[in-house]
Amino acid sequence: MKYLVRLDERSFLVSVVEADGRLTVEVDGKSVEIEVEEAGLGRYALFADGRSHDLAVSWVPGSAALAIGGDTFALSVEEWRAGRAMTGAASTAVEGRQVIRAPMPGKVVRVDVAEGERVEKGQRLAVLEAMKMENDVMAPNAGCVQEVRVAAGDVVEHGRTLIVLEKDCITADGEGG
Amino acid sequence: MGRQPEFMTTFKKILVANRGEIAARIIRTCRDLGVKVVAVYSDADRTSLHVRMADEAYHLGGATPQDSYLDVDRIVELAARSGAEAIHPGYGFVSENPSLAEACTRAGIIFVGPTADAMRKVGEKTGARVIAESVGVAIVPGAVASAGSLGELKTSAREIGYPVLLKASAGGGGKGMRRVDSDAELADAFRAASSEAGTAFGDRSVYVEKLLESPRHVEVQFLADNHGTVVCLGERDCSIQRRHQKLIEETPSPAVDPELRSALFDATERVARAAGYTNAGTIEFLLDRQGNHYFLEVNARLQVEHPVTEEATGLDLVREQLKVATGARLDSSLKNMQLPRRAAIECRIYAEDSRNRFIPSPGVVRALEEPRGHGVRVESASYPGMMVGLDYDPLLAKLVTWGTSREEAIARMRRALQEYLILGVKTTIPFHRFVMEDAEFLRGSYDTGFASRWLASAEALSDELAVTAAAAVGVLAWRERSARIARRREGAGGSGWGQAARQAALRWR
Repeated sequence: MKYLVRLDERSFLVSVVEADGRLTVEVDGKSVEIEVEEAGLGRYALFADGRSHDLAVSWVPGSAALAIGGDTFALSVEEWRAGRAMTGAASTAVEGRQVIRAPMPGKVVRVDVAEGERVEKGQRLAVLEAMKMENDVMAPNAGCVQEVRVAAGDVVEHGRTLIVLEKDCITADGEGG
Repeated sequence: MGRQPEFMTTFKKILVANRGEIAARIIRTCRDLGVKVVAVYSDADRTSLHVRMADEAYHLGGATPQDSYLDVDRIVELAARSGAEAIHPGYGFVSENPSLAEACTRAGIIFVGPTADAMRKVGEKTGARVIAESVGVAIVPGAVASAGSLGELKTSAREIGYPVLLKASAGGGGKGMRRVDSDAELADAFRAASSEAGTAFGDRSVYVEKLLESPRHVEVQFLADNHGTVVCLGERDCSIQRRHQKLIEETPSPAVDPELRSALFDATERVARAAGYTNAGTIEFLLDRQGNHYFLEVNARLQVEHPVTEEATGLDLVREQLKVATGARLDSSLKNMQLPRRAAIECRIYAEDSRNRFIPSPGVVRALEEPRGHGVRVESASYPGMMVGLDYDPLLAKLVTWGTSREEAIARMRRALQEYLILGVKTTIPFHRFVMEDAEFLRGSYDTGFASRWLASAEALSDELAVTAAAAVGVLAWRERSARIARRREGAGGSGWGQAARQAALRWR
């Protein structure tokens, strides 16, 4: 059985095969000696390469997570079948189109640009407040504001699209400056 | 012999006007003293730990601080109605609001903190600077009045010379603070600083001072009673900060020798006396590279990092605060305490992604295991299942260790951080683990620019550990699948929610 395991942005292809009552585990084609023992609710003792680790896993839908070595990671697991393309992190820039997403959950304090407006690289597009701190959302590149998807006062999730930039302004005629 | 110390016969019930770990911490001392506790809460905190710990709990209002923890009238009304003799404000929120102290006086309730008058004198940062200057304590060059307009601000900034720092007059905790390097940046910084200051403190005024490059931030903890006794309980070095907010504090400061210590204590005493200050307070100083010290501000309250001083001295500062509030004298032995006694260090555990510019990381704490053992103290109000929202400061806990030497305190901190397990929200723990191994920090030669240098070098989980974790997840997924197949064969439905949740999370195809 093969699984695509994601820890934050990193992906691993994990193969688990049972033979004679023993599990053989490979990660990205390399064999891994590992034993996993359940220690309690969502807690596991790991034994790997002569070292022991404390692992905690939460399987809550939509916010599965894993903690090991003093750090915590968003977790996703999918069964993987041969021939299926691996999809990486969502591409944010396609052919000059740049999607500006919320870098954190928070409240939109203000939006500084309007649709059709030209912006310079590093120009402030919006201000996002989270936990009482105001954070500037900057243009990663020069471009033209194609869409403004939020307004002041909106509460946004992490990763929510705020603004879409195009390299050039697209007018009703299809082309523009 | 009675159950309570003699000075505590004044109080039978105290209202704690705060939330989170500091509310829990104050409640614990009240318990030690045999005093009943009244908690208050916002809509967001109805089930929070401090509410469950208290003897009584009353609703303040909506989740926003303005509707709840900043509502002076409501807090005083609840104290009066519940029969509390005193209000302890903790830190933040209403702790440095003189109108609370006044409202308490009017209602015949004791405010655990300085008088409204002293608070006004030192609370306005600009006013505090005037006091410090008047008793011969050096201040950071800059304005002594709030800027009324952008034009005024520009004039002051040019006089002082860029770079300058905009600061909230009523502020603290880095809110409403902005570095400005030129005229061009001033308007935006002014707007942002005023707006943040308004939200956090209900006062939009800001002032400007010279920005010292890479200074150290050292503060002195003091106690003052109503009988003219002022005692300094040692310094804390708070130079490890991000966004002007402290992350790590330690005592003694590696940058303070006995001579500087006595100069800092002397300056602290003079400012405290000049302001007529009573109860617990802290005076913050900046040290420049030449070893000069400058008065920065007075924090007219208990500080977040007060446990550092408690672990180093063995004192309970909340107990001392309550004692002073009853009008009792401070114990004379405090005056003669040999300092430093021991080393102590605090790491603030915030729900922030320290590998990603310390951006907030709200969510649900899915699993939690706080460190234990000798020399370790955890101040926390967290629990598994706790929702970390966006309404309040994301401080989950404070991890404090002490040792007979700095090295011992750091070794214990390293051990404690190793044991810490928080699942579900990103925290500052990876940053702290990095710091406790960092050569510069271990030498004690760090400054306020330290955290920004980590930002550049933030490393993710080691490849080896990531592979191990991924392999373990693969094994668990495989077992789950086998168990599911076995159940299907047996025709047993399997109704546990955990199973359903696991399957949903695994997104089987």
